[in-house]
Amino acid sequence: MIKQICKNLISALAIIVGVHLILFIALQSPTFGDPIARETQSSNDRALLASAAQRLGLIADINFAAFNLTVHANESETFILTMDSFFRLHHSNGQAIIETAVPATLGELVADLNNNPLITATINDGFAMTSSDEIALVYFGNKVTLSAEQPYHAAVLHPVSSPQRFFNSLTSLLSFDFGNDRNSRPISNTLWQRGLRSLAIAAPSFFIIFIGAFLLAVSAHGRKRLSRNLNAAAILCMSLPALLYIFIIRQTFVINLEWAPLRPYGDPVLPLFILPILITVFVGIWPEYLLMRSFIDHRMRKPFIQAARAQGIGEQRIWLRHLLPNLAGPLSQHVALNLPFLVLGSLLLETIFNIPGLGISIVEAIQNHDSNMLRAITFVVAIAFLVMQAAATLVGRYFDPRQRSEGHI
Amino acid sequence: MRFSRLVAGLYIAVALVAASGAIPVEINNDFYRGNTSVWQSAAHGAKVALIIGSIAASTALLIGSVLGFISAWYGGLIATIILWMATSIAAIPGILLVLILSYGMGGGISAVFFSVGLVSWVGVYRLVHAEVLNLRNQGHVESASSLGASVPLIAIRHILPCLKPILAAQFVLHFMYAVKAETVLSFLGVGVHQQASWGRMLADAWAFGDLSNGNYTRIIVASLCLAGLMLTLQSHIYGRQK
Repeated sequence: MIKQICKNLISALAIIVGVHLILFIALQSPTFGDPIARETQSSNDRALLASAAQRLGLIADINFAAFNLTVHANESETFILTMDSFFRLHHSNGQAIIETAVPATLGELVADLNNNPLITATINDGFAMTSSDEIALVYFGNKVTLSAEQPYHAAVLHPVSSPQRFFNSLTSLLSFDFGNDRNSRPISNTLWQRGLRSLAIAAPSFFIIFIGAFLLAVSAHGRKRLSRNLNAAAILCMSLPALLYIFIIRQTFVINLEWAPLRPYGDPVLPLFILPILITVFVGIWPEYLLMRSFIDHRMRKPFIQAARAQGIGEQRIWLRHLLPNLAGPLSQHVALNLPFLVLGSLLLETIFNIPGLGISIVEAIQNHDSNMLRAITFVVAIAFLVMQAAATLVGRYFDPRQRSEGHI
Repeated sequence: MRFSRLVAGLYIAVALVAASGAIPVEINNDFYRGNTSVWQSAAHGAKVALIIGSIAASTALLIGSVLGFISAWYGGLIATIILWMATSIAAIPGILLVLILSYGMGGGISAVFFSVGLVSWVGVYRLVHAEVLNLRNQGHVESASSLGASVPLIAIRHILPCLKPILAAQFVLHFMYAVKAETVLSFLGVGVHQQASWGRMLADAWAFGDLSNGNYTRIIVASLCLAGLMLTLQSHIYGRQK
C-alpha cells in the first residue's frame, strides 16, 4: 500500500515536471522564437527589455547605469558595440568597432577602455562587478551604434543559465509562488478571485449538463424515433460553432430584449449569470449526451444484463440494480477528470460577456504578452487535474471491485 | 455517404480555386469591416480550413503513430519516456495548450496547425500503442519477424495496413478539431493573421459589431461553411462505421 502510494506520488511529480517542461519550452526558451521579443513586442526600450528578461528569469538582476562611456571621434565615424565581444577598438571600412572581452571586474574593464585614447569610461558610485556578471549596452546579442561625444550608460547584468532557470521556475511553481503579472499584481490573488468566478458559472453548468445529458440518454434508450431525433439534433448543434450561439443569444436576450445585463458580473448574484450558464449548457450538453448514450448502449449489450432479462427481472429493477451501479464507476471517473478543467471557465463566453474569470485572464495574458500569468494558470489546472485523477482512481476502485482485486490505489 | 463525398469535393474545389489566386481578397480596412465580398472571404476560409485541418491531422497522425509503434514495440525506458510525455500533455486542457503553443510560435496559419498537431498526437499514440501491442503477437507479424524482416519493414508492410481504419477515423476527428480550434484561436487573436478564414470572419464580425448593425451575412456565411464541413466529416465517419 505505502509502496503504491509512493509510486503514485513519484509519477505525479514526474507529470508536474513534464508540464513545466512544456511550459518552459513554449514560453521561456527560444525554441519557438525569442521570448523577450515576444513579451515586449520587439521593443527597443532597454527598461522594458530588462524587466521582461527579469520576469522570465533570464537575468537575475541588472544595473542600468553601472558605468558611463563616451567615445571621442569625428562625428562622421560610427562605433558599433556588441555585448559578447567588447575589448579592443579598431577601424575597418570607415567604421570604428570596439571589441571587448568581459574582464573579471568592472575596474579592469574601465581601465582597459580608458587605455584607448578614443574612449572615456567612468564607474558610477557604489557599483562592483562580479565575475559572473555581463555587460550590456543593449540586450543580448544586439549591437549598438554609438555617436561620438555622447555619454552612454552601460548596463551590467547577471544572466541565468537555462537549466538554472528551469529549476528556479519549477521550485517557485511548486511552492505556489507565481510571482507578479505584467502590471506587478500578485498572480496568486488573481487566480483565486477569478478562479472562483469562473467556477461559479462552470460548476452549475457542468452539473446541469451532466444530469441533463444522462436523463436525455436514459429517455432515448429503447425509443428509436426519439433517439434518432436527438442524435440528429446533437450532430447539428455540434456542427455549428459555439461562437454563433453566444453571439445570437447575447444579441437577442441582452441587447434586444434587455432581459440580462450587458456585464453580468457587477455583483455575484445568481440571476445575472443565468444566461451564460444556459449558453454553456446548450453548447455542452450534446457531446455529453452522445457519450452517455454510448455508455448505456454498451452496457445494455453486456451478458449480465441479458442474463437478468432471461431470468425475467423487470426493466426497472435491471436499471436500478444492475445498470446504474455499473455505470457509476465510469461516469464518476468521467466527472472527476473533467472537473479540474472547469476552473478555466469558458474562454469564449467570458470574453464575450466580459466576465472577469480565469478564461478572460488567459485571453488578457495573451493580449498583454504576459507569459507568467499563462504559466501559472496552466500549472494550477494541471495540478487540479492530477488531484482529480487520483480521486477518480479512488472512486473507480470504490465502485468497481475488479480494480480492487488488481491492486490499484 | 455519396452526398457527403460530393460536398467534400465541393469544399476542395472551392479551396483549390481560392488557392490558385482566382478569387483575390485584399486585406485592408474594408476587409476587416466586412465591406469586401463575404463569399470571397468564405472561399479563402475553405482553403485555410483545409490547409490547417489536413496538416494538423497529418502531424498528429505521424507523431502519434511513430511514437505509439516505438513504445509498444520496444517497451522499457523508451516507452516510459513517451508515456511521460503523453501524460504531461494530457494533463493540460487541449485548447489551453494549443493557445499557449500558438502564442509561443507567434500566431499565424503555421502556428495553428503545428500547435494543434503537437497537442493532438496523444490520442493517436494511445490507440496505436494498444493496437500494436495486440498485433505484435499475431501470426503474420511473428512470421515476418522470424524471417528476419527489419522493424521498419514490419511496421510499414505488416502493421500499418491493419491500423488504416483507426488512422482514417482519427484523421477525420483531428481534422475537425483543428478547424474548430482555428475558429477559437482566430477569435482570441492568436490564430490566422492577415488572411481570410472563417474564424477571422467571426472575430471581425464581433469586433465591428455586425449583429448590432443588423449585418448578419458574415456571421451566418462563416458559421454555415464551418457547419457544412463538420457535418460532411461526421457523416463520413458514420458512413465508415456502417
